[in-house]
Amino acid sequence: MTMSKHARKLGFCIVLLITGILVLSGCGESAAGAQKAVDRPAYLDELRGAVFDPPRALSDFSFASTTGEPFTLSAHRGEVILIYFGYRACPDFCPTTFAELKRVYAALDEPSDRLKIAFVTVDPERDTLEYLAAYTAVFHRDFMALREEGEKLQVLMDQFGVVAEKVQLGESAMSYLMDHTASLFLIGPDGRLQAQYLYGTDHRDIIHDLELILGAI
Amino acid sequence: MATDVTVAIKVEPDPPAVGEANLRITLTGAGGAPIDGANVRARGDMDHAGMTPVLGETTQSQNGVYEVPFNWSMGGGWIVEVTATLPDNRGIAQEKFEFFVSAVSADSVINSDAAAEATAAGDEGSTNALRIVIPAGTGAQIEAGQDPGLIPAEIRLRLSEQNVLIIANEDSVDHTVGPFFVRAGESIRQEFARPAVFEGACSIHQGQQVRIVIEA
Repeated sequence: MTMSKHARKLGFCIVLLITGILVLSGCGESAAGAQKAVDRPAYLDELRGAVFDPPRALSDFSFASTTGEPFTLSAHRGEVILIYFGYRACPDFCPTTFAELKRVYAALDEPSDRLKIAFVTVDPERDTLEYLAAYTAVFHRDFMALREEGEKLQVLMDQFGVVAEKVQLGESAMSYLMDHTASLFLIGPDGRLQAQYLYGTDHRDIIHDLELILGAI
Repeated sequence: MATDVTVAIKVEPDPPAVGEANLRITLTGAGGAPIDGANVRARGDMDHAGMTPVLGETTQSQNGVYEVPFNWSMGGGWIVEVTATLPDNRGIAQEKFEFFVSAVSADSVINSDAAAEATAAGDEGSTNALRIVIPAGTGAQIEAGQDPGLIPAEIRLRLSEQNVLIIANEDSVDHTVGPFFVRAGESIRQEFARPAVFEGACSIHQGQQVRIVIEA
């Protein structure tokens, strides 16, 4: 897997500077305490997924989506987003994950106003939005797919540590499978990456976590 | 090749999914007149090499509609070629259609609402954690060709003793430990409730894999 060399020191410095300004302005401990509470929701300690500490800040992105409107991360503050990177010709990990997500979504009574489930294709060469729409519709009409190409897609994948690699099957340029990271990622209402669900995570654990988070919104 | 014949197709179920299916093929001639009495064959090939084609055929029709039993043997992209040998020596009409077939059918076990309950081994009560710390400078060590010797190739947790794994990256560069990508300055905490095995690459073991084994 790729080892990214991007340092986050600048981001940390900015956070410390802001905290320092709040202290000097006389807001004192209450402001710093409130900042800490915002930074780390209490429910994180109870999640059954792999929890990021601190929750990982994500750069905003806007991808074409099967909803007909671009999907922009920052437009979904206050909602929970489950995001999965795969491709429609995937024979195993992707359909099984989405079958589990269908079960999860139903168990939560389909909270379409607070929970978005997004499938990001790592195979934009073959996966058109039309094909992707037909794919996600098999599982649920509310599920969406996102599509982008080239550097924009790679930048998003890098933020999650997602890798995808072609495995050629035959002589045709279109005959290949994709080896890809199979984890499901949870972006919290604050727009930050809060948890990761390894492939094979029991759907009951995902339901448990979403009930906690949706109950806190 | 007959040029005045239109070949249309509908699949059932729609959208298509792995398993039994029906191809409803309609033959119409000039002015939309239905064509009966043809021999209609369908050949389905996946859009990548190496798969056995699926064949279907019928000579039965009603008002130009031919029902061809079919079977999507695998999920993925398909190309279905319909060849209709027309009556009265009118020649052959042929058309290709592309489909994406879901690997999971609506009535598959995976999609079933039936509960697959099993008593979870272990309880969430245990808070014992295995903590793996990636110290500052690890990335530099690896770049210099040194082995930091931090992480075994196999990490084992016994649920009755340690059911929490924490990976704390105190380095200034990002690292991947098995299935977890942990950015510089970040920690990841996973509490396990059931036996499982997870594998993935490891940036600390250059070019190697790490297995995480959760035992009851």
